[in-house]
Amino acid sequence: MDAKLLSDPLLGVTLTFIVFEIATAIQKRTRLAILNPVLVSLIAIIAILKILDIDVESYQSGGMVLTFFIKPATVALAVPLYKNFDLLKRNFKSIITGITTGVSVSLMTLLALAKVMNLPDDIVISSAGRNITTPIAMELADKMGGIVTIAIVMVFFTGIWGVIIGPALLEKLGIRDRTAKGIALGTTAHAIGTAKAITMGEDIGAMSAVAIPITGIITVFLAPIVFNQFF
Amino acid sequence: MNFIKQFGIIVSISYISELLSQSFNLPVPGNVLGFIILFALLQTRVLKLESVEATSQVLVSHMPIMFVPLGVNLILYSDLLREFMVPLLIIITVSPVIVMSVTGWLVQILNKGGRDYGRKAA
Repeated sequence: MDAKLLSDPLLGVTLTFIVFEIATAIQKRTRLAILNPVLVSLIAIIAILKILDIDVESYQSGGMVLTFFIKPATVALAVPLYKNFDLLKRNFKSIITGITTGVSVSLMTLLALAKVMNLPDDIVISSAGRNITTPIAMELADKMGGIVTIAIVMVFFTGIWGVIIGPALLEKLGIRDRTAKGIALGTTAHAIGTAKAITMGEDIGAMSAVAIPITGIITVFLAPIVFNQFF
Repeated sequence: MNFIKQFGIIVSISYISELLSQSFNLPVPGNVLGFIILFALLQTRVLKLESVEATSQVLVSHMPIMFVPLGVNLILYSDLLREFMVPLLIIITVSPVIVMSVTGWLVQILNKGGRDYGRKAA
């Protein structure tokens, strides 16, 4: 292919749209949570780029166009929150208690797993913010002496995995309260979990969205305190 | 109000928040600050719901596809990750199960003690 055609942003955008549509159709048909459309799409795209020998930079000139929309979309999450604000007001105390406990459990789990697997400190620190939104997680990893790129990878795949297991897990545990569902998804899987939560209902999406900044702030406060006890 | 105009409002808020976050070195990243600012503007009725609602709905409901190129970019980091792939995968798969269970369960239990439960019982 002509180099100019390859670097056209339309390539990345078109490829992502086609692959994502197919991946979505596959999940609809199979109903398998593990065939998460985002996960399937990115594996397929990586394979296609390798097979057709297209470099990542060419793909990303279009990919960036889609990535660009993450910021305004995150800001737009304020709209479902505004429409469901009474849920937050009514359940404020249980939400804060739930998220604080969730963050503490997340940090404890990490320390326990790290100890069992004998992981180096910088890898552990880089994983501390895996339940929070990427920009905050990067900042946290950087400030605590972690590796920023590992932090991003941990955030991303924790989000994807949270979405894959989320609905079935909540169902199995008998969690029917819609606020609890949203908060659980948002506290575990940040914006990726919220994207899923929105499809389960606007109120669930709103609660998931509100958990993102709260989880971020609580993690930034708690992580250094917890880690200083152990390192 | 039309779609593009609504998008203009949302993008402006995103950009202003990014500017504020960076120039004042705030601990809150731009997109989270933007989320708070848009919410505050709606709550104080400076902005009407109708002036952002339709476009917000489109943006929010199409979030998953936006994460695909971000994930593809992670191939660039694959060399760095190879060494710790297995332990990191264990953390990724085990920890969300625990965090989600505890958080969801606790919020539900606490809510049941509150007014919501009473309402359902009545």
